[in-house]
Amino acid sequence: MTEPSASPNDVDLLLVERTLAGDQRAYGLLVLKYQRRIQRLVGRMVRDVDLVEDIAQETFIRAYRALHQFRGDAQFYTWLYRIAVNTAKKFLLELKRNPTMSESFLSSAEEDETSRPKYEPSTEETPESELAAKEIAGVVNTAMDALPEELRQAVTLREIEGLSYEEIAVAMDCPIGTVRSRIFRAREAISAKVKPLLEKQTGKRW
Amino acid sequence: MNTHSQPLNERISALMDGDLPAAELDALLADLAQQDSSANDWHLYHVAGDVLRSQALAPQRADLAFLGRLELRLAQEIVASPVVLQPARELPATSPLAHVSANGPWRWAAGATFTVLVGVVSVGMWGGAAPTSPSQLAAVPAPIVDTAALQAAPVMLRDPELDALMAAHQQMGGHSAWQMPSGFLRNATYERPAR
Repeated sequence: MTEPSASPNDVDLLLVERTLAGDQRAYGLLVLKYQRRIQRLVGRMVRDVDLVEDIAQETFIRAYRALHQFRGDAQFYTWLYRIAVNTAKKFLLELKRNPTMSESFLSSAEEDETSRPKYEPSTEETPESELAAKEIAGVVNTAMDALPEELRQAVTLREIEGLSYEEIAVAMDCPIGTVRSRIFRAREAISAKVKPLLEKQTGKRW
Repeated sequence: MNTHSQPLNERISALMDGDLPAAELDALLADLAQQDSSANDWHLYHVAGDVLRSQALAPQRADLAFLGRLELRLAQEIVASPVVLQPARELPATSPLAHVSANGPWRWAAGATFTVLVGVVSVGMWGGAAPTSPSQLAAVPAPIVDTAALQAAPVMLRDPELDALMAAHQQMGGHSAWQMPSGFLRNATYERPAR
């Protein structure tokens, strides 16, 4: 008989509950999980890189303040998304009210982290951080290409197609335990390549 | 299925996908919260997954530095919002949370910030909040002081709000962080006999 498993949403809810119980590092795990999506979302509304970080920080601060209101009815990211959008809008409103602030901070008011910006930075304006991100993306793709076929297929079905382990097991005609192991090995292989780049990022002063 | 025999990072991978038995969840989350290497695996696996879904989600800046700055701000937030931070609940010594809370990365930052806050408040309340204008002097009625009573039994002035703040942050700040200043504050609160 299969034991009941916790869904990824259950994991988020448990991390919220742990945070509320006083385990601050549980909140750190939620931040590590969602900060890139939030920064990307905010980056579609605001051009200035520093301001994006400020708004992302403020988003997580506000979420922390309101954490006791999160009941798990919606996904944690959906809840966080609304906080991020509202926080960004508030920042933008303040920017517009302040005549000393340049409009160059502002981007479109689109609320989708996947939409393209109207403003594209020129080569001269391309920050070093963007190059670092491209380097990481390149390393991940190279690591994926180097994976054995069964590992690449398993992690693709999971991370990109969003299939469950059961569905992947059916698709690949193998036991669930094998699926679990293949996805883990794929992640380990990719992480081993990405880790030095992230450590280099951490060591930099931006 | 019992996954306890699997390596910790393989269980983290299964956890991310919602494939960890619910019975093992709490123990693994405790491991994640306590071990930097486990949290690092959690971070790396999520970065890999994010980038596979969209290259635009590759971290442009150091995620851990972002988290470090956020932790500092949250430490200040905790100090500045005693309403949010209720008087700390005493966790049982056997609870894994007790260990995490006592050794959490924000403990010392929060303690130091709290000390500064108490210092600032004390300067305002006891240290020399002299009126800045004659009108202020005129507006403040001269206190009627029973000098004989004061000489007999000096009364320490207490601010209930400050007491509540100190009580709320007793565990977070730690006694050693503010015992010295509080001793000084007590001495500074004695009223002088009127001349």
